[in-house]
Amino acid sequence: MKLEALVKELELKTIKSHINPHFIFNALNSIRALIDENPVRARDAITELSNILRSSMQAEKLEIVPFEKELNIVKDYLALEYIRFEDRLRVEYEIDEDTLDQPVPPMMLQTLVENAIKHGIGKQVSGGVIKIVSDFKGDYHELLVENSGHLSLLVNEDGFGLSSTRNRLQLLFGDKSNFEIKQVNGNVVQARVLIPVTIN
Amino acid sequence: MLKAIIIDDERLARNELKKLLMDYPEIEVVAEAANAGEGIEKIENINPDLIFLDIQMPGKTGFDMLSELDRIPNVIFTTAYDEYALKAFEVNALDYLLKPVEPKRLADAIQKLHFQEEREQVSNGTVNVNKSILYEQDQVFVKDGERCWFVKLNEIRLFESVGNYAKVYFGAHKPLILKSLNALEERLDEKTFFRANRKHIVNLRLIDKIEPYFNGGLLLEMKGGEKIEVSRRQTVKFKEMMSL
Repeated sequence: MKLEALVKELELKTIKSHINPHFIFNALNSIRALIDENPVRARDAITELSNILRSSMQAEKLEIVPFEKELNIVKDYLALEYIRFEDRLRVEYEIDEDTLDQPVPPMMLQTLVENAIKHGIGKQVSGGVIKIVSDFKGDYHELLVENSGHLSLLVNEDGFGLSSTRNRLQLLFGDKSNFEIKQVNGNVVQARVLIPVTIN
Repeated sequence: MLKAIIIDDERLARNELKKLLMDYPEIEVVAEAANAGEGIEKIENINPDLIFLDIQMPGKTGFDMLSELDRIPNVIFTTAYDEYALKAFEVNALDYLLKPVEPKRLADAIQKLHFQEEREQVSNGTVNVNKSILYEQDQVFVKDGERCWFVKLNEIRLFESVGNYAKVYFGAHKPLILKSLNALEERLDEKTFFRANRKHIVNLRLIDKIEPYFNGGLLLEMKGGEKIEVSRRQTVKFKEMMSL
């Protein structure tokens, strides 16, 4: 059992969640332009970027974090992407407050949102909507990330973000967890994570 | 004065570059575009000397955009991360800049641009005026699958008709482009490019040998070793041109 636990820990550590360097340098470039145009926003943007970088480094040490912490990172991330995309990015949240204490793997939601931007919003000239939903479905904590776009693009181009999400859930929560990604409503791609509810 | 267009999907990124370019009064940013479609339209209307081109854009990438243009201005790629840098070198771009752009790197890129302009003026002698004709010093962008090249017309030995496509021979490469030989013939400068027969247009300056051939025709051997027959009808015209 001890050995099994060790192997599991090691595996989790190797599935690191890297922030896309493209994102970091684009964000820094936007911030440099904002320094003259909107210094207050530029200061906030630096705080947001710091939070994301710190969280990404800590993610390598932690197996799970409360959902609230992860959600805050995603909010910072999307605030920064909004600086880049401006009107092309619209964000909607539907969060059941009772889910905020539920444990989730760090940077997992972040990776899904990053994919939704990269393969969904970033590919469309007129941009689109990202919607994040967190609620309870029976004995499960359900997380949804939806974006405008088409799945075929997404599946072909990025296996890593998706397979690492699946592996992390499997290692942490076993067969009870689930991850799937599918096309819904013709023009919406939905990533759905189910994690068994933890009662504190 | 050099006319420049900035093509980048981010407004702030375009502003930042414009701000940096204010230190170079010889470069005038005459237009901006937020995607490949707008970029093509503005390049064709304005005919700029230089474009700053982001690679990752929604819809079409910067590479896709270049492959749709007839004549390619000087290109400086701008990208946030250098996974694309190598590819830009393979296509022989004037330079590439990583965002956020370091002022010193921009200065180097602009210096390269000035060297390039000077070289072209020396070798060109006169300024070509007819915009619809592609001259020897003009460059085109050729994309074949994942590979792409900037090619000066004076490096192209031969165009060969292959169905709706044309095979372009330069160096050791011969990629296909989606253009008919007739369409190409209309655009190419007839002082340099000659329609040898139904299937081939040759670069007159890159012919190695000329031999008589059947029926009063000629056989040309190109610098790359390709042997091209000049039809009897075209042989008369060819001899006239060469004797001038």
